[in-house]
Amino acid sequence: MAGSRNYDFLIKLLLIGDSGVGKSCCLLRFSEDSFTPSFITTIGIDFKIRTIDLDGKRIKLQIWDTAGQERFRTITTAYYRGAMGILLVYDVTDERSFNNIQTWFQNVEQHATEGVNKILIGNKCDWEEKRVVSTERGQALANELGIPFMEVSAKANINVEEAFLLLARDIKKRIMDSSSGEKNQPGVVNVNETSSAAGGKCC
Amino acid sequence: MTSKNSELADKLGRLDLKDRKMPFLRRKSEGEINLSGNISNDDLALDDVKRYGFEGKPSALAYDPVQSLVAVGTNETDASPGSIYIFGRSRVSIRYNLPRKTSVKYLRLHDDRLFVIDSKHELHHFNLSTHALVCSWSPPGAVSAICTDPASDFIFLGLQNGEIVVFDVDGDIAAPFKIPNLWREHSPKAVSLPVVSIAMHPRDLGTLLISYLEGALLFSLKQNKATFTMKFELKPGAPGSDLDAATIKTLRKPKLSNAIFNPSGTTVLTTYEDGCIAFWSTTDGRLLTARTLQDFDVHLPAPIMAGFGGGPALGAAFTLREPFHKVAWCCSNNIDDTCLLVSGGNNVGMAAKGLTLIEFGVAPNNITSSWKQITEHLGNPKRQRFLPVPHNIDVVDFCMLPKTSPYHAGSHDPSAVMVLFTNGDIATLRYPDGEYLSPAGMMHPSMAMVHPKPFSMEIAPISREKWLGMVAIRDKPAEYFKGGADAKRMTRRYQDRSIACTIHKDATVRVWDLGHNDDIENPEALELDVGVVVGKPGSVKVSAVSASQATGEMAVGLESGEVVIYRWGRNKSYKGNLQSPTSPAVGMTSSPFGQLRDIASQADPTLKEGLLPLYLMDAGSGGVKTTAVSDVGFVAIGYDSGTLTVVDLRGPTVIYSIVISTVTKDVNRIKEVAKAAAKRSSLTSIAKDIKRGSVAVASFSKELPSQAKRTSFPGFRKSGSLSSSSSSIKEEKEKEDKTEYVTTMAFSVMTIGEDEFSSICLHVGTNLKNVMTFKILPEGSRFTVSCAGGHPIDNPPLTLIPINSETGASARATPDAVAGLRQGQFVNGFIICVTSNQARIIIPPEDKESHKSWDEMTCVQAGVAELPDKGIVLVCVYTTGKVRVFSIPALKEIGVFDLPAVIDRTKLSNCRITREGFISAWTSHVEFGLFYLWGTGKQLHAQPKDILYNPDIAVPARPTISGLQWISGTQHISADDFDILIGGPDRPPSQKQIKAQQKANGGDKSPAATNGNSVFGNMANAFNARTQNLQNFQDNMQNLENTTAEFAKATSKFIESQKRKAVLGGAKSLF
Repeated sequence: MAGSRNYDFLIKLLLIGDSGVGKSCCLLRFSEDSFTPSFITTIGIDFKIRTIDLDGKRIKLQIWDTAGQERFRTITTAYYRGAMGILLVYDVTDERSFNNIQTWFQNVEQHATEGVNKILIGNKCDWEEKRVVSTERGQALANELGIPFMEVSAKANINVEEAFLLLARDIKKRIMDSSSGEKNQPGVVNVNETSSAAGGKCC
Repeated sequence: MTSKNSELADKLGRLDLKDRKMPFLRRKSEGEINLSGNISNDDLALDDVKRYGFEGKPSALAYDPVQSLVAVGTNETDASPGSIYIFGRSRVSIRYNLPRKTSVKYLRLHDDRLFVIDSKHELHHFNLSTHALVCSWSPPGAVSAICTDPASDFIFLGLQNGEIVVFDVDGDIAAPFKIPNLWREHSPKAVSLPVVSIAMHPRDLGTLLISYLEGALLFSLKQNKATFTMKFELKPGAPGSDLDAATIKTLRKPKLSNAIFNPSGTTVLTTYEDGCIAFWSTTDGRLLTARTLQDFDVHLPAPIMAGFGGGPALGAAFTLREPFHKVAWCCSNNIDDTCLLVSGGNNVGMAAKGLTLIEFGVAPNNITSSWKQITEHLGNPKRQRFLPVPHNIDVVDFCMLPKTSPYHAGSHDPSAVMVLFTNGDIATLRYPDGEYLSPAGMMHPSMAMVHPKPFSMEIAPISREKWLGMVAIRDKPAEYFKGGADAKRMTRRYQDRSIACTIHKDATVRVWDLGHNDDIENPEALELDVGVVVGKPGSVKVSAVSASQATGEMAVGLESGEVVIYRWGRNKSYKGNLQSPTSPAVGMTSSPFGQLRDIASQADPTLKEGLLPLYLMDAGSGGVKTTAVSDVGFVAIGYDSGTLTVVDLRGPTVIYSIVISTVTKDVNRIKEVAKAAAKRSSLTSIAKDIKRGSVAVASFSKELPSQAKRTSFPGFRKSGSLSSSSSSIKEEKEKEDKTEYVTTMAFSVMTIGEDEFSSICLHVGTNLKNVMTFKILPEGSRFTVSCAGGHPIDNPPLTLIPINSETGASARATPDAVAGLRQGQFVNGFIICVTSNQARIIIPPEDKESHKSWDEMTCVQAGVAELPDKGIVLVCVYTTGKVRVFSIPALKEIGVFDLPAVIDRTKLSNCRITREGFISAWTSHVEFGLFYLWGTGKQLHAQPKDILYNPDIAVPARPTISGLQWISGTQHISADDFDILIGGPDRPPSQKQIKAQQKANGGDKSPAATNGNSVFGNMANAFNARTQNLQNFQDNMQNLENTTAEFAKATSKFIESQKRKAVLGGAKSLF
């Protein structure tokens, strides 16, 4: 077998938001390009993988889908730390899920690594007749939090891909900037970079 | 009213209390009445009837899908050795004890054989059809690994010194076959090289996977040598499971912890103590890929990037990982569609505990696909999930529950997984989504006792007719354990069933029939998940449970002050299957009933018909101490703040709520006054005045508005305080320091005092030594509650039992008794009140009929038991484990005996006595026993034993190599070759072979025809079978007696012939 990895970057993303906003559906759409209308509560943590090409680099996205239900909160927050990008998802037809974004955001600030990239996602944007949260309000909240914003629909396949790619691109940019130059060749260990590695200092 | 009052006052004016006799006492004066009949000491002999739960802490699990039985091994306790409990359908259970005082370490269950390796490294073989310990064998060394297979008669035991010995279960002797320490040649200097694990190839009996601390190897039984070795090294630069750069730059050789085959046998997985998992091909032993639970390709040198390192649950710079507790490579019905289920391997200190599920999806064909494809498949799982376990406790072991096949290391197409925690609790998770499955109605009550542990239990008698109808209709998976059959037990048709309510740590209450050592007609269990209903799952604690005997209505009180009332019914919020998200706590809006809220919408949406939450009462009066549910729609609640509340479920309305101390104080004051007045007999007029006052109070309290406020009695206070003596003030001051609260309650129907009618009564015992009686009287369309009086006693009452003084029956408020009230039926009754140092018969509200004190002992629990056709007795249980039986109402001692020594004295106060004469008492932390008072001294082992083994179910054939593999030249070894190889040539034919032989000889003969043969005919058949067997073996044996080389030759010849047979479509069986 080949003695090297088949990707240049591994990026870990995390989906959070209230129960029922469509986190798992977004992930299913992105990873398998399919959709299921039935509601299956996510239990604990679930992750899927998709490798994408981004500006000539092969990027492996490892996307963690979390349970929105309150009873799993302690478990899901345990996963915040390793994430490099976080997608905050709300349901445009559910006012409460939108209001809770503030809480989720605070959660992220509290538990995730500093400087983690975030994006605000308003799901179910195809369902115009049921919409209660306008695009403007979503954008306003995103501006307030200082993060990008996108309205998507997992069902109608609107913008899902774009949202993930936007976040992945931001992360890649951040990583490239933080690591000095283009030393991240596969198969090469760069000791200098370990200084900033999470948990790099052992006791 | 006033004329009646004066009349009563006149009667009461006769202050000699002894003159105020009840009808029953009048009769007593005519001749001694005795409700205990001629019950004597001879009637008392304790039967040890039943145990529920586990005596020791569960330490091992095993499941056999063929017989559909589950086995749980336990640790030894101070008093007894470890045991193995086997459970089948509904109430089928059997317990086997280990012969020595050891714990169960490994447990295997195949067909009718149960194998146990105990903590002292001894192997025990139990037979499930005879319930006998067939044999015990001490292997020559400490056992560190065990390998069994449903198709094999041999148990492979890996020893601490690296050798593997084999035990022949059929002949119950050690087999001649041995494997020396094969790793010694790779690592001659190693101090110790124990066998870490042994696994059998899922489709080829001739291949073993043996792993040592330093590496694993594939061993071919045919060639009697290792074919491939698998040694895992992390080259400098390969991250492995490490995050520390300095470590990563070095060469590491992690220690192996386990090795298993994948379901098709094409890949081997090895786990390492540092948290790495490596995948190897069985075709040529090459390393395919390696990973940790979070990262891929960790064996390849890789750059380390900011924010990239470590698992998701990293706590700062701490990278130590938990060891892998267990790994199972499961498959669906298609053995190429696989999943890896792992416990352990996450970072130490991770907040969430659970299992990791790595879903690979369908594997590419092993023969036609390239290495790259296979590596890709293993390196890119389709999906990965983390399944949290309930209660967030560390998992030590798990056991898959396969649907049909016992092969593939017990991981073939599982429907659920049973998880064993460090604290001995068990949880069942649905596979693959990890949903927590309730054991109620799915498993034996003993299993439910560790799902999780209960901290107390109540026995609520529920009428048989009602209980038989209480079968919950809900969406539930197919039964897991279908095996076995209940032993024949006697049929007893008691009017009531003893229903156990076990209160568990996670705020669930499970309701199930404890039985009377008889046929249990409704073995179902109901589950009340109180935490979910009040909207605080996991954070509440149940403090009181009571049930109505006739209606099955239940009241569950919580330490946080809520009371949930349950009633049987159809669920309006039933959803069929969960299609939409469960709306969280929408029904929690307050309803018009004040403190009561309608919470019917909180019912479990998967429940179609069952015990449903009806009302939630949140009075904010502190924690609930005790509850009582009457059969006629009243619920009484005692709070630790001292409030007593009575709820009428018609409505529902709170009809009474009062701080109990205000009532008791006032009642006691009247008494003081009365006593003082009695002394000054000349001043009868004053006494009359006072009595008049007391009646006025009674009538006043009657008029209390239905949502009675915490009323004090202003008028009454005045008259009482007029003449309260200084000594009583002192006493009262002492009492005031403590809050008075209700400790026990009982509803009854009886005549109170000099009433001309009977009424519904509520008897209340308080911690400050009062027994109060309240009358519940109809007033227009509603009911009102008034205090009828009180009776001070020496100690807080443990229990209050209303008894009909004419029949000896319970005087509880049954619908019949209440209906009788309208016809003017008159019920004379008394209450038996038992405290820690005396039993007392009280004629409510105030009089004492008789009492019995004991100073030397402390009573912890009491109850009335009935011996049919003879009478009733009072049974008192003492801290010493002694039980004394008294006659009623004279309270003369009838007999005394000791509870068995197995009783856990520290939990004795939670013992319960049923009217049928059963005593339930905890025998260990999670086990309670049921004892029968009117027995014959029968011991537990003399009770009828359930049947476990069904000989008619055949074990399916072991999966074998595919035709393609055969063509491609894979050497195949048949079961019989295997037997000869391991068991040696001198092995007598095994049971299996004899059976097969008999079948072959019998041809098409029906079993009836065979049975019709004479004894000699059968014998001749057996001889023939044996002779033929021996003949069949002769060729092989001759060859086998020669050198190994010749033996191998013979085997291959044999295989050739087998192959030919197979091609010709001949049967695979040898005979």
